[in-house]
Amino acid sequence: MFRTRRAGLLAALLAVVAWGPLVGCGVQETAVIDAGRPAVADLLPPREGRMLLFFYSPSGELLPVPRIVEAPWPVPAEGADGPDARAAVTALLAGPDTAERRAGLRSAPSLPRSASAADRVVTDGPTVEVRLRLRVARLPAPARDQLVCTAAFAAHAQGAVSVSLVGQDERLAPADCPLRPVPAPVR
Amino acid sequence: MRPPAATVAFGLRTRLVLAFLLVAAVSAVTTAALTYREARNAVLTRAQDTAVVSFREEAERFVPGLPLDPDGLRWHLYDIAARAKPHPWIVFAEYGSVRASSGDRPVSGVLTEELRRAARTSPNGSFERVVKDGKAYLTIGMPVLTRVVAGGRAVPSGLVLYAVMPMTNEEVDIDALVTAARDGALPGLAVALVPALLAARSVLRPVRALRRAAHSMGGGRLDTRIPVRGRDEMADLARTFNESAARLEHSVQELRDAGGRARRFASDVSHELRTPLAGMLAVADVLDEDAGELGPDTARAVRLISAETTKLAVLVEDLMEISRFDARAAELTTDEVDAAESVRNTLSDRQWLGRVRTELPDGFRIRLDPRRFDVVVANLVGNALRHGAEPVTVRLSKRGDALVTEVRDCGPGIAPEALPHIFDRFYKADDARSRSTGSGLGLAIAEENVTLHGGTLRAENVPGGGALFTVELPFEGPTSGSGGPDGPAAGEGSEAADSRGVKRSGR
Amino acid sequence: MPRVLLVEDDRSVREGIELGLRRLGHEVLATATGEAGLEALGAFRPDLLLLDLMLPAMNGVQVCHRIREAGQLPIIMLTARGDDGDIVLGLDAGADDYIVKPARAEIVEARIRAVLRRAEDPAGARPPVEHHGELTVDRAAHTVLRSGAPLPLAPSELKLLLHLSAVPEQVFSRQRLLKEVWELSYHSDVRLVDACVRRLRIKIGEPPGAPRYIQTLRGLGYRFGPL
Repeated sequence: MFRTRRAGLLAALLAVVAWGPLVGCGVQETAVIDAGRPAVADLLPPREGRMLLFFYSPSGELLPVPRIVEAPWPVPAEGADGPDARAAVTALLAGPDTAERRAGLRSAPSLPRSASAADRVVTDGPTVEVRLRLRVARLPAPARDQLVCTAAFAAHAQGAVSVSLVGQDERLAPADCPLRPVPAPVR
Repeated sequence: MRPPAATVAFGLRTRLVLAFLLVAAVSAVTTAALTYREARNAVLTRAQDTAVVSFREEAERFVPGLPLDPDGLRWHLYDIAARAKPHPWIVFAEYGSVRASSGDRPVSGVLTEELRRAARTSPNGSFERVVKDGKAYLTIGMPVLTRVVAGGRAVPSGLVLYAVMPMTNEEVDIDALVTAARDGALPGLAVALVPALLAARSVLRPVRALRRAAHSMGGGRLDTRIPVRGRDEMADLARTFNESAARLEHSVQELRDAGGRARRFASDVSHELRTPLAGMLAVADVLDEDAGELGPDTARAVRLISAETTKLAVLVEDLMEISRFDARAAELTTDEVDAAESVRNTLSDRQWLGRVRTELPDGFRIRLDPRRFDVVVANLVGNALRHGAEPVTVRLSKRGDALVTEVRDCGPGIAPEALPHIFDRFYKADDARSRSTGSGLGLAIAEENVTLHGGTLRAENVPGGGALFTVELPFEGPTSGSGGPDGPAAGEGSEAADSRGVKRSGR
Repeated sequence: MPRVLLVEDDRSVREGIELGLRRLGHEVLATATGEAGLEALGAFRPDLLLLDLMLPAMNGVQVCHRIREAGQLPIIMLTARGDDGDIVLGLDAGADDYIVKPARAEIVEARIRAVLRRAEDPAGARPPVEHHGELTVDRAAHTVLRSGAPLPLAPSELKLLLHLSAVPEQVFSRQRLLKEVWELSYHSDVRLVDACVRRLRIKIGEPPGAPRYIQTLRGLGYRFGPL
């Protein structure tokens, strides 16, 4: 009968209305949701006791990797052509040490492993010039970034300098480290 | 007078209550559902926000320094895990290819690749709710930034901390919410049943009054009215009903008046015709006797007048009789007679004995008005002799507690289309004999007389040809039970030899 | 031929019946009112009165009563069918018969003859004078005495009494009495019989409720005796 059918329809509607919101009860899965600022801490040893090298993580991110130095080296004056920068570049070109390799850190494959390639680092105002006994023209971007960042952070605490790589073949245009420090969020 | 079963099963009351309950259910469930959702979201949001904020705080406090010491890393994670808020969590750390956790496995099966990708690539923290094996977890991915110099700017350190927190308590809380919503809604519905029934009653009371009134009007009490209360739709309906009833009553009264006037007119006309007819009829014989001495044309005219006067007198008498039935003034004077003797006398009085075959068994004693029974039999036999063909048969028999009188002829029968109207007044089954010797009222009068006795009169065609009229009269006479609305009047002439004067309605 | 006094207010009916009866050989005096009819009684000395029930001033029932006070003149009422109540009143007032208008003169004449006809002796062989309790029935003289005093009986009453007493204890159905005493058809108005019995019982002094001479048999009719 039509009337019975309509009543059935009504009951079904009622059930849907009643149980629709309740069927999704309990705790649902969500997508990935932004949870606000990251954690910020002082992870690095004091500037005096470390060199800051830049290696790539296994997933390809360029990371600052501190390496403790045995003898504290004096923090060079601003603009000085300190051995600190040259030492950092030298250490970078030597590649990650055992502990760093164990942690999966590595250099870009295109970066030559020749510690002696670092000639000297000249600081000239906002620009640091890194002279290398290498051919830099064909150096790919990941390798260049490692060199640029290491030199920049060695020369300047916040890495806020441009770095020009000068090879045996040519001089590259000054470049900034792609890893720009961001203002640390206030707690 | 009961409505069909389906309507009862799904009556107005049921529908009203159901509709009320439906509305109550929908609102209760909707409210419960919305409340539940809000509460659930609040519970979850609070738990998540607390967890994210405290996880970030603890991470910042207890994060291990770089370069990372894989062996000491776990101790830092234990510190963070020990300060879990609001619920215990397990902390996982990823740095390069280093994996560590505060739990017994360095890698979590709950953390999704999406969250890990977001934690690595996004500058912000992320969280994700994951349901695994029916259990809900809150997973938080927190990248750790490190300041390059103390108090200075920060860069990503490559270290990512994760927290995996089972949401068991939240699940319990939320289940409790569902239970509370359900347990609140169902009694609410039960409580809603009471106002539903009350509302249905208040709506149904006027409906019931309306039904009673309509029924009463259908029963003929046209003066039925409904009390009008309030100003709602039901009051409008009642008012409309009352107006319609008043108009109907008025119309019916007008019709009745008109019918009464028409009947009175017919009665008055016959009365007025009767007096001059009485004079004319008294001298009709004179005309007949002297017609022979007149010229041929005059003689024919005189005889015509005489014959037509006789017919006119019969017609007027029949009209008067019908008028008395219409005015319900027909009186029944019953007597107990022998049916066969009565029929024989009817036939012999009219010199029909030679023309009619009879089957009249003796011994049927019946209470009836002999004069009216005589009229019935005479009209039926007369009709059969006039319109049917001889032989005409009159047969008496008994069927149950009724006397059956059958009058049958061997003529062509009654035309089928005429059959339903055969007892109508002045109905002429055949135009060709529209001017027969009958008044045209004979069968109508016969039927009225039979009805007056509480009996029935039927006409039909018999298979062998010819028309059959069947009269059934109760042996006991018209009982008060079968009487019309007027009922039988008190008997007159108590000293009479068992005669009963019974006044009965004509129809 | 019988002399007939006709009291009828309607001129056409009056003239019609008068003419019809006169043609049949009756001597007819027609009056328009009851009063005139009563006045004419002495001079005209009718054998029978044809009396219309519906009269303008003094109605038929009253005229009937007045005449019965004085004597036993046969009375036939003229009435219309449907005036049933008046018919019963007229019969109780002493009318012997009634005729429903309109009626042919022949019918009226037949009724007149029937009312005036002397009761035949049904048995024939019965003795002319019989004694039934206080009643003395003299068939030859057509008189009935009660305790020696003659009873003033109207023609219908006398005929009914003679008819019933001729065969004592025999039950007569009312239809049979209509045919045999009133010379009417089987289906005629049995109230004629009932009214006549009522009048007769009063005149012969039956105790009310327990009649001795004319007894009722419910559903069957009347009989004379047994005493």
